[in-house]
Amino acid sequence: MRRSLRSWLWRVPVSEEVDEELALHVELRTRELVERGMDPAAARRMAIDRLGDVARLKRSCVDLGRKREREMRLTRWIEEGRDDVTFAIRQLRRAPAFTLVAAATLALGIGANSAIFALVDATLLRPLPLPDPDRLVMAWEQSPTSPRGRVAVLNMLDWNDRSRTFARFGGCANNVGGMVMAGADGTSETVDRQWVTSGFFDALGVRPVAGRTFIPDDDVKRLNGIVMTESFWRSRFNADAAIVGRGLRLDGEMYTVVGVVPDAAQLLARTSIWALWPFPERHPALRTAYGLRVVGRMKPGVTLEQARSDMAAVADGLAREFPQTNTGRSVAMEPLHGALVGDELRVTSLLFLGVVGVVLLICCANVANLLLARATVRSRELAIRSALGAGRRRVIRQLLTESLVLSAIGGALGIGIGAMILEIAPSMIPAGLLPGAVTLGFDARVVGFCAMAALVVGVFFGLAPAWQATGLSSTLAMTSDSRTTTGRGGMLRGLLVGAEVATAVLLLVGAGLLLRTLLNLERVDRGYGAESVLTMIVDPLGEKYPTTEALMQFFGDVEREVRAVPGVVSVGWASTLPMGTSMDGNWFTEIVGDAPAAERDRPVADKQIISPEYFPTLDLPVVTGRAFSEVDREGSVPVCIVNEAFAQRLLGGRNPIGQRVSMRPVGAPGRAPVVREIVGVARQVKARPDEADEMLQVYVPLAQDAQDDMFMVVRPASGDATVLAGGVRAAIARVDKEQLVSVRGLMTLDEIARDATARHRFRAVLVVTFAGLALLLAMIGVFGILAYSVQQRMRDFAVRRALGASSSDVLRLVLQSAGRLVGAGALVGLVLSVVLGQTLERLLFGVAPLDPLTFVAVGVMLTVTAGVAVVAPAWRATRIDPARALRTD
Amino acid sequence: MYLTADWRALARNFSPRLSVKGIVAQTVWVIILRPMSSKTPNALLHGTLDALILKTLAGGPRHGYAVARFIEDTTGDALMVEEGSLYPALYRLERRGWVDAEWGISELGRRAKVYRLTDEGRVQLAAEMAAWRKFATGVAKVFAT
Repeated sequence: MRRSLRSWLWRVPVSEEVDEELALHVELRTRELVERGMDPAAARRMAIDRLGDVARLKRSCVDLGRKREREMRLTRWIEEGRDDVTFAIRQLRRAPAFTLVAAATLALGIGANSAIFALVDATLLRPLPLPDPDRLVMAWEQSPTSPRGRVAVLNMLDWNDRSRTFARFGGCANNVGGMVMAGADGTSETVDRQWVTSGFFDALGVRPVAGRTFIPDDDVKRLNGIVMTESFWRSRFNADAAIVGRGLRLDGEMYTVVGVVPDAAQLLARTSIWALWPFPERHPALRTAYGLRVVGRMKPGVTLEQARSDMAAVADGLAREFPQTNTGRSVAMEPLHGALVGDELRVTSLLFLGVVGVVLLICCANVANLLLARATVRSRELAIRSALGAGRRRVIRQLLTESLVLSAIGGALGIGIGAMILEIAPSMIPAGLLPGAVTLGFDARVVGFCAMAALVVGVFFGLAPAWQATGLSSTLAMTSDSRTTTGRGGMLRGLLVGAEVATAVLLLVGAGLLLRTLLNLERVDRGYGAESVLTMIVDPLGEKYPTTEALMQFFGDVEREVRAVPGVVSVGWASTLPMGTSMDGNWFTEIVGDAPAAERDRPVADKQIISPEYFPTLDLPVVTGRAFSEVDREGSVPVCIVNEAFAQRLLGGRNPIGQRVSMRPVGAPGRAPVVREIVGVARQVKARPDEADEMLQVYVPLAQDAQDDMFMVVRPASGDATVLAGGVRAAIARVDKEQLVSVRGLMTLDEIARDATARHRFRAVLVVTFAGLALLLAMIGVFGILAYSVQQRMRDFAVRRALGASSSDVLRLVLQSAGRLVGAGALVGLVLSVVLGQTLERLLFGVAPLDPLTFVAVGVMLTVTAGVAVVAPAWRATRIDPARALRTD
Repeated sequence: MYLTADWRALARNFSPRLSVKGIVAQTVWVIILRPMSSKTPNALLHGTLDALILKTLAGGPRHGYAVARFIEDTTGDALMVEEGSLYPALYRLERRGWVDAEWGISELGRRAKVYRLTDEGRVQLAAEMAAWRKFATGVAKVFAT
């Protein structure tokens, strides 16, 4: 839109223009009317009147004019912005190394931040995926001995009936095992199951995906009903549309599928199905059956205080009615979100956010350094721009656009990195660290956070260099050489990079120590010799095999069938697995005839029930004496085998064979002790990979102490044991025709050992990642600073070369300044690692905190990476042609 | 006297202050003078004014008054241009980009804002003319029954 030069330069206000236009119109109309013969004064009046309401006319014209102006300004602004962006992209393309390094740095910072933000979002910000989540509370029974205990069934039902502030209470019992689900092909499978009351889903407000959830009527009808999770429905039943109303055989009984709910309902703990726990009658014993975790939904408008006082009154009423069971018992409640997530997790995630925010700041500082190094090269271009009339604000705007484009690239890459981190993180985090209510997801909020972070970061690191670059007087910049001084900032930047190097060294030492710990743990001699052994829990339902003979018959049948599976070499039974869980637990032991030890020092051993085949299956030798055999059965002399540590500790140098051991279970002081005779000593087996004291173990034959919840161990002739899984399951199914045996937890001994080191592995991976990140950032910082200083000292080096210095002299200068920087940082880092090493001690295994090998390795790594960082600027310094450098001004 | 009147002084006349004189004059015009003119005003359909202005400018750049005169002269005063809506229409057309405005010199020797049809305006004009023809044909058909 063209306007006259005058109006463009002087910006005549719109109202004046409108006045002028309308005045001309009136003028011309007046002339016309006068020509027609009207009296001039009347003509003018008529001309004005013909315009109608002049004031309003003028107002609307001015309004329209101003709107147009604004739109024009906006278009011009957008066009300028577009030009800036194109220019910025071109500039960035011309310096690909710089762009890559800067964008990668930003991507790392933004990506890490977005992953941690997802964690913070899940634990702190996002409300529960239920309707009106602030109405939900978790309730406990408060007694003099425990502030937050599980709730008794009858108490919960009474709360539900008598409370005036709550719409509904619902209870759930989790961690009570699984159910055996009969499969169509004859095999059975154990599925995780939680018991819930009929009001549970109503209280939470969960909407079913298919069918319905439980209603109070189900209680009355004693319905055998289950509700399953959506993922279970999809994986096991292929999202069968006819699932509702279908019958499933669980634990030998028929259950009806009532509905399917979304996975988000697994708040309290993960499970596959919920089964209805009906309470049609109120049996008095249920008054003390403290098994439920209770959630309640408050009525609309009720505050937590009102709810608390109401429930206190209800509890008082119950205490008066049932003095034997309910005296002193009250109700404790917390909002559900807080109860599920817990303070510790929240504080931890905020801490992580802080740490990762600092990392982002360091990234920004690094990129700002790099930008500064580039800005000096462009000082002349910028000076010319301002001389040609671009205001300082305009130039700053252009430089800021470049920073924003850079940070946009970094942000886009950061989204990818964040998504990747969130993909692999859940598998790395040990189970149980994050509660079920917390799901890490990469959704729109995280992407939004990335975008915002990129914007803020772009402005943040772009502003300072832009301000500085344009602060120079234009004449100075155009005529003088590139000797711009930034002394004050230089010291600060050097300090920052030194701190980065120190942090990197500290983290590297920690990472090295933790890695060595992990390796040591994995290489620990487990004690048994077998390469690959498949294990599983085989748990027949109690009613089926009531007597020991029946149970032994069952075990014998299964053993026979499994041994017949092709590829199987031997099968054994055990109640404890090496580095795994112990079913039978700890027992007090003492040698009959020895003086009893003091209360506190009573030796405790892990009692393990095994079949005779166990030792050969695991290739565990019996060092002294004999192994179990057919002679050891119910009715014959009670025998046992002890392990080497037991023999060492309780018997010293004495011959263990023939000695008698008296055993009593820990935690059951009333039980009469069992006396057994030692017939052999077995090789030591590790219970935990990092245990300092060897565990004492007493092996007892299965025939003399049968129980139904046993591990079965299966060894193949060769190769990986997992290939036997299907065959073994089928073999068990052949024995268990009624599908009442729970077979679960199929794992190899290797996997069990790996799980035992899960926490160590997680720690090591975490610290290694942070160490790598810190090292990368530190080296980028070193590179940035060095490039900048070489840029500054170009003329200096050129003069030296002209005066006769060789290129290796110049190289020496550059390396010296780099060495000072890296050396100082490394020294500080090493001192810090020595000082802080002691705190790591309890996390280490087989490695001292001041392990020389680790320190040397860290030193080497630092030197190598520093060398890589220094190569480019140093090479540039040696390439200076003295004559050319002197000529440039 | 009107020839030498300062346009700024004229502008002051357009102040939003209500004057008895202004009200009386307006009332006189609306009640007495308008019906007295020999023209029977046909109210212009909304939007048609835009089309007429565009067509007027198709014949060459003009300032606001000239556009009004052209329409009045061409229609033989059968169409009365409500002058209060002429200038807002011109401003709207300018905002839409169908019309370009430039300050030039008028025949009186004073500055005038001259409007010119743009290329997009030409396209819009063709569209409006086609729409009008369709409308007119439709109405004619109904009237012919």
